[in-house]
Amino acid sequence: MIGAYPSVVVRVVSALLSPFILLFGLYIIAHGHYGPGGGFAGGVFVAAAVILPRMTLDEELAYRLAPPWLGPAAGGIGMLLFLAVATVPLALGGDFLDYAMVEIAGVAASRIRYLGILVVEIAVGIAVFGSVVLIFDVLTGKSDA
Amino acid sequence: MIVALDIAIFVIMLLTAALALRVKDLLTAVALLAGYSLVASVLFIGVAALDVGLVEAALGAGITGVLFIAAILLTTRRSVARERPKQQALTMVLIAGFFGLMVFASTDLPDRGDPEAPAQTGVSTVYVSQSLADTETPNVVTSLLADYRSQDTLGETLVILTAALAAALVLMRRPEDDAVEDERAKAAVEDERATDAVGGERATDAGEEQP
Amino acid sequence: MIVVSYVLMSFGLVLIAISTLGLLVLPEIYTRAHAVAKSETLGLLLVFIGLYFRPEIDLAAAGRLTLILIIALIANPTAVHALVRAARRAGIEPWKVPHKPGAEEESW
Repeated sequence: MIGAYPSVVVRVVSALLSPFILLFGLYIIAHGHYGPGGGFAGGVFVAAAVILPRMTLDEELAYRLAPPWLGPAAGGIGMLLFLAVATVPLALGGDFLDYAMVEIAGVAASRIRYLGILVVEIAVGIAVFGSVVLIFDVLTGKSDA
Repeated sequence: MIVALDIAIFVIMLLTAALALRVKDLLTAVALLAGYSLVASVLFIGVAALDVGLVEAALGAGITGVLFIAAILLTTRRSVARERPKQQALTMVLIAGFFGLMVFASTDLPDRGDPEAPAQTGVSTVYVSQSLADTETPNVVTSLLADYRSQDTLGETLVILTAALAAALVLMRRPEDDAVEDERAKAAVEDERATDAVGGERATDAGEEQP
Repeated sequence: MIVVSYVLMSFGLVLIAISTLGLLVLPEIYTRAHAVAKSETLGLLLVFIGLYFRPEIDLAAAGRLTLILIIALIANPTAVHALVRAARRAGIEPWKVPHKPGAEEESW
Protein backbone atom coordinates (compact mmCIF):
# COMPACT_ATOMS: atom_id res chain seq x y z
CA MET A 1 0.00 0.00 0.00
CA ILE A 2 2.74 2.50 0.89
CA GLY A 3 6.26 2.85 -0.40
CA ALA A 4 7.74 3.19 -3.87
CA TYR A 5 5.56 1.60 -6.55
CA PRO A 6 7.75 -0.68 -8.66
CA SER A 7 6.79 0.91 -11.98
CA VAL A 8 8.45 4.09 -13.15
CA VAL A 9 5.42 5.12 -15.23
CA VAL A 10 3.12 5.16 -12.21
CA ARG A 11 5.71 6.94 -10.05
CA VAL A 12 6.33 9.71 -12.56
CA VAL A 13 2.65 10.22 -13.35
CA SER A 14 1.59 10.40 -9.71
CA ALA A 15 4.45 12.76 -8.87
CA LEU A 16 3.34 14.89 -11.82
CA LEU A 17 -0.37 14.82 -10.99
CA SER A 18 -0.39 15.31 -7.22
CA PRO A 19 0.52 19.05 -7.26
CA PHE A 20 -2.29 19.65 -9.72
CA ILE A 21 -4.72 17.71 -7.54
CA LEU A 22 -3.61 19.92 -4.63
CA LEU A 23 -4.19 23.05 -6.74
CA PHE A 24 -7.62 21.78 -7.78
CA GLY A 25 -8.52 21.13 -4.14
CA LEU A 26 -7.50 24.64 -3.11
CA TYR A 27 -9.48 26.02 -6.06
CA ILE A 28 -12.55 24.04 -4.98
CA ILE A 29 -12.27 25.43 -1.43
CA ALA A 30 -11.79 29.03 -2.59
CA HIS A 31 -14.39 28.86 -5.37
CA GLY A 32 -17.26 27.62 -3.19
CA HIS A 33 -18.97 31.01 -3.36
CA TYR A 34 -19.48 30.88 -7.10
CA GLY A 35 -19.67 27.24 -8.06
CA PRO A 36 -19.96 23.72 -6.76
CA GLY A 37 -17.53 22.91 -4.00
CA GLY A 38 -16.55 24.21 -0.62
CA GLY A 39 -14.70 22.91 2.36
CA PHE A 40 -15.80 19.27 2.32
CA ALA A 41 -15.03 18.44 -1.31
CA GLY A 42 -11.91 20.61 -1.40
CA GLY A 43 -10.52 19.06 1.77
CA VAL A 44 -10.98 15.59 0.29
CA PHE A 45 -9.12 16.61 -2.88
CA VAL A 46 -6.24 18.10 -0.88
CA ALA A 47 -6.09 14.87 1.15
CA ALA A 48 -5.97 12.90 -2.12
CA ALA A 49 -3.00 15.00 -3.19
CA VAL A 50 -1.19 13.93 0.00
CA ILE A 51 -2.28 10.27 -0.10
CA LEU A 52 -1.30 9.66 -3.75
CA PRO A 53 2.46 10.26 -3.14
CA ARG A 54 2.24 8.08 -0.03
CA MET A 55 0.95 5.19 -2.09
CA THR A 56 3.32 5.49 -5.03
CA LEU A 57 6.48 7.45 -4.20
CA ASP A 58 9.49 6.54 -2.13
CA GLU A 59 8.50 6.39 1.53
CA GLU A 60 11.09 8.86 2.78
CA LEU A 61 10.23 11.41 0.09
CA ALA A 62 6.46 11.11 0.57
CA TYR A 63 6.68 11.58 4.33
CA ARG A 64 9.08 14.48 3.94
CA LEU A 65 6.49 16.19 1.71
CA ALA A 66 3.73 15.67 4.28
CA PRO A 67 4.87 14.27 7.63
CA PRO A 68 2.56 11.98 9.63
CA TRP A 69 1.88 14.61 12.29
CA LEU A 70 0.18 16.73 9.61
CA GLY A 71 -3.10 14.78 9.81
CA PRO A 72 -4.02 15.26 13.49
CA ALA A 73 -2.49 18.74 13.53
CA ALA A 74 -4.55 19.91 10.54
CA GLY A 75 -7.71 18.36 12.00
CA GLY A 76 -7.25 20.22 15.27
CA ILE A 77 -6.22 23.52 13.66
CA GLY A 78 -9.19 23.49 11.27
CA MET A 79 -11.66 22.78 14.07
CA LEU A 80 -10.11 25.47 16.30
CA LEU A 81 -10.25 27.99 13.44
CA PHE A 82 -13.93 27.22 12.94
CA LEU A 83 -14.63 27.61 16.66
CA ALA A 84 -12.63 30.86 16.78
CA VAL A 85 -14.66 32.30 13.89
CA ALA A 86 -17.79 31.16 15.69
CA THR A 87 -16.89 32.82 19.00
CA VAL A 88 -15.61 36.17 17.69
CA PRO A 89 -19.16 37.56 17.20
CA LEU A 90 -20.09 36.13 20.62
CA ALA A 91 -17.26 38.11 22.22
CA LEU A 92 -18.47 41.28 20.47
CA GLY A 93 -21.94 40.91 21.94
CA GLY A 94 -23.70 39.13 19.09
CA ASP A 95 -24.94 35.60 18.52
CA PHE A 96 -22.83 32.48 18.08
CA LEU A 97 -21.66 32.28 14.42
CA ASP A 98 -23.34 35.57 13.44
CA TYR A 99 -20.47 37.04 11.43
CA ALA A 100 -22.40 40.20 10.55
CA MET A 101 -21.91 41.37 14.15
CA VAL A 102 -18.23 41.94 13.44
CA GLU A 103 -18.00 45.54 12.30
CA ILE A 104 -15.11 46.75 10.21
CA ALA A 105 -15.16 50.36 9.08
CA GLY A 106 -15.82 50.75 5.39
CA VAL A 107 -16.91 47.14 4.82
CA ALA A 108 -20.55 46.30 4.32
CA ALA A 109 -22.21 43.70 6.55
CA SER A 110 -22.87 41.44 3.56
CA ARG A 111 -19.18 41.59 2.66
CA ILE A 112 -18.26 40.52 6.20
CA ARG A 113 -20.63 37.57 5.96
CA TYR A 114 -18.99 36.74 2.62
CA LEU A 115 -15.56 36.74 4.28
CA GLY A 116 -16.93 34.74 7.21
CA ILE A 117 -18.15 32.08 4.78
CA LEU A 118 -14.69 32.00 3.19
CA VAL A 119 -12.95 31.50 6.54
CA VAL A 120 -15.45 28.81 7.55
CA GLU A 121 -14.92 26.96 4.25
CA ILE A 122 -11.14 27.09 4.72
CA ALA A 123 -11.50 25.82 8.30
CA VAL A 124 -13.77 22.95 7.19
CA GLY A 125 -11.33 22.13 4.39
CA ILE A 126 -8.38 21.94 6.79
CA ALA A 127 -10.34 19.81 9.27
CA VAL A 128 -11.59 17.36 6.61
CA PHE A 129 -8.11 17.12 5.07
CA GLY A 130 -6.63 16.33 8.49
CA SER A 131 -9.28 13.72 9.29
CA VAL A 132 -8.86 11.82 6.02
CA VAL A 133 -5.05 11.87 6.20
CA LEU A 134 -5.20 10.76 9.85
CA ILE A 135 -7.42 7.77 8.99
CA PHE A 136 -5.12 6.77 6.12
CA ASP A 137 -1.98 7.06 8.25
CA VAL A 138 -3.51 5.03 11.05
CA LEU A 139 -4.66 2.30 8.63
CA THR A 140 -1.20 2.02 7.09
CA GLY A 141 0.47 2.04 10.51
CA LYS A 142 2.50 5.19 9.88
CA SER A 143 0.82 7.53 12.36
CA ASP A 144 2.94 8.89 15.17
CA ALA A 145 0.16 10.88 16.83
CA MET B 1 -33.09 15.04 -16.15
CA ILE B 2 -33.73 12.29 -18.69
CA VAL B 3 -36.05 9.48 -17.62
CA ALA B 4 -34.29 6.71 -19.56
CA LEU B 5 -30.90 7.75 -18.15
CA ASP B 6 -32.34 7.87 -14.64
CA ILE B 7 -33.77 4.35 -15.01
CA ALA B 8 -30.46 3.02 -16.37
CA ILE B 9 -28.58 4.64 -13.47
CA PHE B 10 -30.97 3.13 -10.92
CA VAL B 11 -30.61 -0.33 -12.47
CA ILE B 12 -26.79 -0.07 -12.42
CA MET B 13 -26.86 1.14 -8.78
CA LEU B 14 -29.11 -1.72 -7.68
CA LEU B 15 -26.96 -4.27 -9.53
CA THR B 16 -23.67 -3.00 -8.11
CA ALA B 17 -25.06 -2.80 -4.57
CA ALA B 18 -26.51 -6.33 -4.73
CA LEU B 19 -23.31 -7.75 -6.25
CA ALA B 20 -21.16 -5.98 -3.63
CA LEU B 21 -23.17 -7.80 -0.96
CA ARG B 22 -22.94 -11.17 -2.73
CA VAL B 23 -19.28 -11.44 -3.76
CA LYS B 24 -16.87 -13.36 -1.53
CA ASP B 25 -13.78 -11.37 -2.55
CA LEU B 26 -13.81 -8.13 -0.57
CA LEU B 27 -11.52 -6.36 -3.07
CA THR B 28 -14.18 -6.90 -5.74
CA ALA B 29 -16.79 -5.58 -3.32
CA VAL B 30 -14.74 -2.40 -2.82
CA ALA B 31 -14.43 -1.91 -6.58
CA LEU B 32 -18.19 -2.39 -6.95
CA LEU B 33 -18.90 0.12 -4.19
CA ALA B 34 -16.63 2.67 -5.86
CA GLY B 35 -18.55 2.14 -9.10
CA TYR B 36 -21.81 2.54 -7.18
CA SER B 37 -20.61 5.88 -5.79
CA LEU B 38 -19.52 7.08 -9.23
CA VAL B 39 -22.93 6.26 -10.72
CA ALA B 40 -24.62 7.88 -7.72
CA SER B 41 -22.63 11.07 -8.35
CA VAL B 42 -23.82 11.01 -11.98
CA LEU B 43 -27.37 10.74 -10.64
CA PHE B 44 -26.85 13.71 -8.31
CA ILE B 45 -25.40 15.81 -11.11
CA GLY B 46 -28.34 14.78 -13.29
CA VAL B 47 -30.71 16.47 -10.83
CA ALA B 48 -28.41 19.55 -10.71
CA ALA B 49 -27.09 18.85 -7.20
CA LEU B 50 -23.53 19.69 -8.24
CA ASP B 51 -22.12 20.14 -4.73
CA VAL B 52 -23.33 16.73 -3.57
CA GLY B 53 -22.18 15.10 -6.80
CA LEU B 54 -18.69 16.53 -6.38
CA VAL B 55 -18.38 15.28 -2.80
CA GLU B 56 -19.77 11.87 -3.76
CA ALA B 57 -17.29 11.49 -6.63
CA ALA B 58 -14.30 12.62 -4.56
CA LEU B 59 -15.11 10.85 -1.31
CA GLY B 60 -17.26 7.87 -2.31
CA ALA B 61 -15.51 6.85 -5.50
CA GLY B 62 -12.01 7.99 -4.55
CA ILE B 63 -10.87 8.17 -0.95
CA THR B 64 -13.29 5.62 0.52
CA GLY B 65 -12.01 2.95 -1.86
CA VAL B 66 -8.42 3.67 -0.84
CA LEU B 67 -9.30 3.50 2.86
CA PHE B 68 -11.25 0.24 2.36
CA ILE B 69 -8.32 -1.32 0.50
CA ALA B 70 -5.96 -0.26 3.30
CA ALA B 71 -8.33 -1.90 5.79
CA ILE B 72 -8.42 -5.09 3.66
CA LEU B 73 -4.62 -5.21 3.64
CA LEU B 74 -4.72 -4.99 7.44
CA THR B 75 -7.31 -7.74 7.85
CA THR B 76 -8.48 -10.29 5.28
CA ARG B 77 -9.66 -10.44 1.69
CA ARG B 78 -12.23 -13.19 2.08
CA SER B 79 -15.68 -12.65 3.50
CA VAL B 80 -17.15 -15.57 5.44
CA ALA B 81 -20.74 -16.58 4.81
CA ARG B 82 -23.00 -16.65 7.84
CA GLU B 83 -24.58 -20.05 8.28
CA ARG B 84 -27.97 -19.07 9.64
CA PRO B 85 -30.60 -19.71 6.94
CA LYS B 86 -33.52 -18.92 9.26
CA GLN B 87 -32.15 -15.54 10.20
CA GLN B 88 -31.38 -14.86 6.56
CA ALA B 89 -34.99 -15.59 5.60
CA LEU B 90 -36.19 -13.23 8.33
CA THR B 91 -33.79 -10.54 7.06
CA MET B 92 -35.09 -10.94 3.52
CA VAL B 93 -38.68 -10.58 4.75
CA LEU B 94 -37.73 -7.45 6.72
CA ILE B 95 -35.91 -5.94 3.73
CA ALA B 96 -38.85 -6.70 1.42
CA GLY B 97 -41.27 -5.14 3.92
CA PHE B 98 -39.12 -2.04 4.30
CA PHE B 99 -38.77 -1.72 0.52
CA GLY B 100 -42.54 -2.02 0.10
CA LEU B 101 -43.09 0.61 2.78
CA MET B 102 -40.66 2.99 1.06
CA VAL B 103 -42.30 2.49 -2.34
CA PHE B 104 -45.72 3.07 -0.74
CA ALA B 105 -44.46 6.23 0.96
CA SER B 106 -42.84 7.52 -2.23
CA THR B 107 -46.23 7.56 -4.01
CA ASP B 108 -47.21 10.45 -1.71
CA LEU B 109 -44.10 12.57 -2.35
CA PRO B 110 -44.41 15.82 -4.32
CA ASP B 111 -42.96 15.89 -7.82
CA ARG B 112 -39.34 16.90 -8.26
CA GLY B 113 -39.15 20.69 -8.63
CA ASP B 114 -42.77 21.20 -7.62
CA PRO B 115 -43.08 24.84 -6.46
CA GLU B 116 -45.91 23.86 -4.07
CA ALA B 117 -43.83 21.22 -2.28
CA PRO B 118 -43.47 21.80 1.49
CA ALA B 119 -39.68 22.05 1.14
CA GLN B 120 -40.07 24.95 -1.31
CA THR B 121 -42.63 27.03 0.60
CA GLY B 122 -41.05 27.36 4.04
CA VAL B 123 -37.97 29.18 5.20
CA SER B 124 -35.96 28.09 2.14
CA THR B 125 -37.62 30.78 0.00
CA VAL B 126 -35.93 33.40 2.18
CA TYR B 127 -32.55 31.71 1.82
CA VAL B 128 -32.85 31.41 -1.96
CA SER B 129 -34.06 34.97 -2.54
CA GLN B 130 -31.88 36.73 0.05
CA SER B 131 -28.57 34.88 -0.38
CA LEU B 132 -27.06 37.37 -2.82
CA ALA B 133 -28.17 40.48 -0.88
CA ASP B 134 -27.23 39.09 2.56
CA THR B 135 -23.93 37.41 1.84
CA GLU B 136 -22.84 38.35 -1.72
CA THR B 137 -22.72 34.63 -2.47
CA PRO B 138 -24.42 33.43 -5.67
CA ASN B 139 -24.13 29.75 -4.70
CA VAL B 140 -27.03 29.22 -2.28
CA VAL B 141 -25.65 25.87 -1.11
CA THR B 142 -22.47 27.49 0.18
CA SER B 143 -24.24 30.38 1.89
CA LEU B 144 -26.69 27.89 3.46
CA LEU B 145 -23.94 25.59 4.72
CA ALA B 146 -21.52 28.22 5.95
CA ASP B 147 -23.77 31.10 6.97
CA TYR B 148 -27.48 30.44 7.53
CA ARG B 149 -26.97 26.94 8.93
CA SER B 150 -23.34 27.17 9.95
CA GLN B 151 -24.08 25.57 13.31
CA ASP B 152 -25.01 22.35 11.46
CA THR B 153 -21.74 22.55 9.57
CA LEU B 154 -19.87 23.05 12.84
CA GLY B 155 -21.49 19.88 14.18
CA GLU B 156 -20.75 17.95 10.98
CA THR B 157 -17.09 18.91 10.99
CA LEU B 158 -16.85 18.00 14.65
CA VAL B 159 -18.41 14.60 13.90
CA ILE B 160 -15.91 13.95 11.07
CA LEU B 161 -12.95 14.89 13.25
CA THR B 162 -14.27 12.81 16.17
CA ALA B 163 -14.74 9.82 13.88
CA ALA B 164 -11.16 10.13 12.58
CA LEU B 165 -9.79 10.43 16.12
CA ALA B 166 -11.85 7.45 17.28
CA ALA B 167 -10.57 5.38 14.36
CA ALA B 168 -7.04 6.44 15.27
CA LEU B 169 -7.53 5.46 18.91
CA VAL B 170 -8.92 2.05 18.00
CA LEU B 171 -6.37 1.21 15.31
CA MET B 172 -3.20 2.92 16.46
CA ARG B 173 -0.30 0.62 17.27
CA ARG B 174 2.14 1.65 19.93
CA PRO B 175 5.58 0.06 20.23
CA GLU B 176 4.68 -1.27 23.70
CA ASP B 177 1.68 -3.09 22.21
CA ASP B 178 3.91 -4.85 19.71
CA ALA B 179 6.21 -5.94 22.52
CA VAL B 180 3.27 -7.30 24.55
CA GLU B 181 1.94 -9.15 21.49
CA ASP B 182 5.34 -10.67 20.83
CA GLU B 183 5.53 -11.92 24.42
CA ARG B 184 2.03 -13.39 24.17
CA ALA B 185 2.87 -15.15 20.91
CA LYS B 186 6.04 -16.55 22.49
CA ALA B 187 4.11 -17.73 25.53
CA ALA B 188 1.51 -19.39 23.30
CA VAL B 189 4.21 -21.25 21.36
CA GLU B 190 5.77 -22.42 24.62
CA ASP B 191 2.38 -23.56 25.94
CA GLU B 192 1.82 -25.60 22.79
CA ARG B 193 5.21 -27.23 23.14
CA ALA B 194 4.52 -28.07 26.79
CA THR B 195 1.13 -29.64 26.04
CA ASP B 196 2.60 -31.54 23.10
CA ALA B 197 5.24 -32.94 25.41
CA VAL B 198 2.64 -34.10 27.97
CA GLY B 199 0.50 -35.97 25.45
CA GLY B 200 -2.23 -35.74 22.83
CA GLU B 201 -5.24 -36.34 25.11
CA ARG B 202 -4.24 -33.71 27.65
CA ALA B 203 -3.62 -31.25 24.87
CA THR B 204 -7.13 -31.59 23.39
CA ASP B 205 -8.66 -31.23 26.85
CA ALA B 206 -6.68 -28.09 27.53
CA GLY B 207 -7.65 -26.75 24.13
CA GLU B 208 -11.34 -27.17 24.86
CA GLU B 209 -11.13 -25.51 28.24
CA GLN B 210 -9.52 -22.42 26.89
CA PRO B 211 -12.02 -19.60 26.27
CA MET C 1 -19.43 23.48 -37.52
CA ILE C 2 -22.14 21.64 -35.65
CA VAL C 3 -22.07 18.90 -38.29
CA VAL C 4 -18.33 18.41 -37.77
CA SER C 5 -19.00 18.23 -34.03
CA TYR C 6 -21.70 15.58 -34.49
CA VAL C 7 -19.55 13.48 -36.83
CA LEU C 8 -16.51 13.56 -34.51
CA MET C 9 -18.55 12.86 -31.39
CA SER C 10 -20.46 9.97 -32.92
CA PHE C 11 -17.21 8.48 -34.20
CA GLY C 12 -15.78 8.76 -30.68
CA LEU C 13 -18.89 7.17 -29.19
CA VAL C 14 -18.61 4.30 -31.68
CA LEU C 15 -15.01 3.77 -30.53
CA ILE C 16 -16.07 3.77 -26.87
CA ALA C 17 -18.83 1.29 -27.68
CA ILE C 18 -16.30 -0.94 -29.46
CA SER C 19 -14.05 -0.77 -26.41
CA THR C 20 -16.95 -1.81 -24.17
CA LEU C 21 -17.73 -4.65 -26.56
CA GLY C 22 -14.10 -5.72 -26.34
CA LEU C 23 -14.35 -5.72 -22.57
CA LEU C 24 -17.26 -8.14 -22.86
CA VAL C 25 -16.06 -10.57 -25.54
CA LEU C 26 -12.28 -10.76 -25.13
CA PRO C 27 -11.02 -13.73 -23.11
CA GLU C 28 -8.75 -12.36 -20.36
CA ILE C 29 -7.33 -9.30 -18.65
CA TYR C 30 -4.49 -8.42 -21.03
CA THR C 31 -6.61 -8.33 -24.18
CA ARG C 32 -9.38 -6.54 -22.30
CA ALA C 33 -6.94 -3.93 -21.01
CA HIS C 34 -5.81 -3.45 -24.60
CA ALA C 35 -9.42 -2.77 -25.62
CA VAL C 36 -10.01 -0.33 -22.75
CA ALA C 37 -6.73 1.57 -22.87
CA LYS C 38 -6.38 2.30 -26.57
CA SER C 39 -9.76 2.63 -28.21
CA GLU C 40 -11.35 4.31 -25.20
CA THR C 41 -8.62 6.93 -24.96
CA LEU C 42 -8.95 7.68 -28.67
CA GLY C 43 -12.75 7.77 -28.34
CA LEU C 44 -12.50 10.25 -25.47
CA LEU C 45 -10.14 12.39 -27.55
CA LEU C 46 -12.59 12.44 -30.46
CA VAL C 47 -15.54 13.30 -28.22
CA PHE C 48 -13.61 16.21 -26.73
CA ILE C 49 -12.51 17.51 -30.14
CA GLY C 50 -16.15 17.29 -31.19
CA LEU C 51 -17.09 19.31 -28.12
CA TYR C 52 -14.71 22.10 -29.15
CA PHE C 53 -16.74 22.62 -32.34
CA ARG C 54 -20.01 23.17 -30.51
CA PRO C 55 -21.26 26.77 -30.63
CA GLU C 56 -21.82 27.16 -26.86
CA ILE C 57 -18.17 26.40 -26.00
CA ASP C 58 -16.33 29.71 -25.56
CA LEU C 59 -12.64 30.19 -24.84
CA ALA C 60 -12.87 29.69 -21.06
CA ALA C 61 -14.87 26.50 -21.42
CA ALA C 62 -12.44 25.25 -24.08
CA GLY C 63 -9.57 25.85 -21.68
CA ARG C 64 -11.27 23.79 -18.97
CA LEU C 65 -12.06 21.04 -21.46
CA THR C 66 -8.39 20.96 -22.47
CA LEU C 67 -7.33 20.57 -18.83
CA ILE C 68 -9.80 17.70 -18.34
CA LEU C 69 -8.57 16.10 -21.57
CA ILE C 70 -4.91 16.32 -20.50
CA ILE C 71 -5.69 14.77 -17.11
CA ALA C 72 -7.71 11.97 -18.74
CA LEU C 73 -5.03 11.30 -21.37
CA ILE C 74 -2.40 10.97 -18.63
CA ALA C 75 -4.44 9.11 -16.03
CA ASN C 76 -6.30 6.55 -18.15
CA PRO C 77 -3.28 4.77 -19.70
CA THR C 78 -1.42 4.94 -16.39
CA ALA C 79 -4.26 3.26 -14.53
CA VAL C 80 -4.46 0.50 -17.13
CA HIS C 81 -0.67 0.11 -17.00
CA ALA C 82 -0.76 -0.33 -13.22
CA LEU C 83 -3.66 -2.79 -13.51
CA VAL C 84 -1.95 -4.97 -16.12
CA ARG C 85 1.30 -4.85 -14.19
CA ALA C 86 -0.49 -6.03 -11.05
CA ALA C 87 -2.10 -8.86 -13.04
CA ARG C 88 1.30 -9.90 -14.41
CA ARG C 89 2.79 -9.90 -10.91
CA ALA C 90 -0.17 -11.90 -9.62
CA GLY C 91 0.91 -14.59 -12.10
CA ILE C 92 -1.95 -14.49 -14.61
CA GLU C 93 -0.77 -16.12 -17.84
CA PRO C 94 -1.53 -14.41 -21.17
CA TRP C 95 -4.18 -16.08 -23.26
CA LYS C 96 -2.95 -18.21 -26.16
CA VAL C 97 -4.78 -19.68 -29.13
CA PRO C 98 -5.93 -23.10 -27.95
CA HIS C 99 -3.88 -25.89 -29.51
CA LYS C 100 -5.87 -27.76 -32.12
CA PRO C 101 -4.96 -31.38 -32.74
CA GLY C 102 -3.51 -31.78 -36.22
CA ALA C 103 -2.72 -28.10 -36.70
CA GLU C 104 0.88 -27.15 -37.27
CA GLU C 105 2.78 -25.47 -34.43
CA GLU C 106 3.36 -21.73 -34.67
CA SER C 107 1.45 -21.40 -37.89
CA TRP C 108 -0.07 -18.06 -36.87
